[in-house]
Amino acid sequence: MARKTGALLSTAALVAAALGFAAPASAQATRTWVSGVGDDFNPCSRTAPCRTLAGALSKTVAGGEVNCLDPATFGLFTIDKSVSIICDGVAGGVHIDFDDTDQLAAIIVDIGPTDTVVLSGLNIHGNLRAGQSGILIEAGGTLHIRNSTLQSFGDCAIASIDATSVTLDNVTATDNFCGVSLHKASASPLNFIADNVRITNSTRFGVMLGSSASGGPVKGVISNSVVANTLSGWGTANHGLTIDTAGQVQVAIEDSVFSGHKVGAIDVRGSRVGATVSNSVIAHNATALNAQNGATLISVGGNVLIGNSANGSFTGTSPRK
Amino acid sequence: MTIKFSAVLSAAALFAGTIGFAAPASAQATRTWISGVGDDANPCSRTAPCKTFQGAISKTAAGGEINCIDPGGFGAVTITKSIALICDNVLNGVLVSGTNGIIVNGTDISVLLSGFDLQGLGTGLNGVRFLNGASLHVRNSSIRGFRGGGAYGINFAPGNASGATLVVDNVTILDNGAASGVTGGILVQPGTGVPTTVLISNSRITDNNRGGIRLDAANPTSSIKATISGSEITDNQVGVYARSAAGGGTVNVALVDSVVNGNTSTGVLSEDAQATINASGNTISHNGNGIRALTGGNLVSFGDNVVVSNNNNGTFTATATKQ
Repeated sequence: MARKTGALLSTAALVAAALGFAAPASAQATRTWVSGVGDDFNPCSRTAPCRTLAGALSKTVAGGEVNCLDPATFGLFTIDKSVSIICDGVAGGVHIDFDDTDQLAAIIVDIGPTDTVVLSGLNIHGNLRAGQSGILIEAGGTLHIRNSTLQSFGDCAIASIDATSVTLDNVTATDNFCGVSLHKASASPLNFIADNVRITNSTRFGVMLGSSASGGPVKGVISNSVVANTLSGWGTANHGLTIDTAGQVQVAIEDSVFSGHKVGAIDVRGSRVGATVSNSVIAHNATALNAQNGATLISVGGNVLIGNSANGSFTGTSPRK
Repeated sequence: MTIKFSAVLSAAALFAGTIGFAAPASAQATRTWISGVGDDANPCSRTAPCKTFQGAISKTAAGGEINCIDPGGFGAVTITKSIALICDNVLNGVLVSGTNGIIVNGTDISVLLSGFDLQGLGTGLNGVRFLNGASLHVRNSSIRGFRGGGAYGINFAPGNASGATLVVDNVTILDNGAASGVTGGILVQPGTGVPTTVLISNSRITDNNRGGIRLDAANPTSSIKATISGSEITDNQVGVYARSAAGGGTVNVALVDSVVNGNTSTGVLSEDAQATINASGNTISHNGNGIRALTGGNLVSFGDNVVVSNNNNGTFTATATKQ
């Protein structure tokens, strides 16, 4: 309860100048700290750190940064402003445990279209509870996730409903119901890149991309990444990469490995869907390639198809220039 | 609170058969902690950590996670339930002599090992030995000095017919394997009728006695589907060895974008008609035999491998075309 009051106060601080408030009880800092032995009644300073990331976020100015002093679990949180949480290199790790029955995700990002959030160096562990994600981007803005691991979520490790920019860099998602799901609901575009990402042992799909019929285009790159081992042989939408959408989606896949998928490796469907694949390895899947309903699946060369029950085929090729 | 409690109960019910618990003396936590100065009599909390993996694992719920607060030697452990042991950015030593480092043996369990320094002191049996389970994921780790009789850095030999997956990501497997016998860096050897899927990525399998990576489907109706990418398999006796035998199962390997160098006997070896190694984008150099097929083994080139400076470069048995 104290935390909630603090959050309200700090939100109020943003408009304090405009409304001519007296100074709030505690000011927000540009850099705050959390520690396993901190206390959320503290100002979240280097010498008096807070205990939870939710507590620290309420004491951090928009555009500021939260850092981690030592290993611990730091609780669930919702981000509603530009902020960076940078917790790399902490010996023993910086952890988020998700064992809660009434929240949609361990980290919920609900920011404005011009806001930017950076999450770096987090180890996020779920409890395989159905419908719960690791990081859920509800709306708006730019999200950058790097150097992090997400495991054992009963829904997708990372899910975006309506972000405008998503960057995944050096992320591992393993043993989740699904890996990464990027969708677009509103008319603005989503640009994404997934580089050096490992998505393994998903129950259903590794990556899903989609946009509603009236949604903006979803465009991006999957490079230097591994999408391996989807475990369920059930259903038509459970592939390494699944795109089955009425909206516009374009993805370039480069220098990546798609292997061990029980249904398909790359499965694209929809008249406004296009995928290009270059220098990638597509091995040991039930079906390597599948394009339907007018989708294009273009090889730019250098792809190796090995040991698939059925290779399927590209819809065309495109020369290098 | 009522909701949470019943959810935990129902989750527990799912696992109850597997781990067969009578009510434990103290509740298990989803995340526990160990420390070089901890004590296994503690509850393994952040502020009262345990001392060893084996001590912490009994206090960790199935599907939970163990972390290391500070550097230490945390001892050998046998894992019989789904769990993640994650200790990156801190020296997480498991140092054993004459025994296995980590044993994984539980039906349908998933295990993630991250940030280990496994050391077998020249006599250890296996760094990680997988006997039963659904999946093993080893990453960001170093496994060395397991050189006892029949030892491997990772010995993946699942026995359950529902099959198992192995992921090895950013692991250095160095200086394992006994001087003679079936031994070396990584062994994949599913039991009779067991299908396996293997991914070895961004890893270094170097200076092991005998085998570097041995993918052995000699057991009847077993299968191995393996992808080895972006890795270095160097200075072993045999680098990558896909093997079956009369009456055995199938092994199919995608070996891509890797370096196979300095293996004294053979770099890439395929034995038996049911064994296939597909190679693309590799450098295969300075081995005794570069590539070699035995008793009908298949070696497929995608035409972009560099096979040079081996005593005997050898020849592929077939070619395939990139798309």
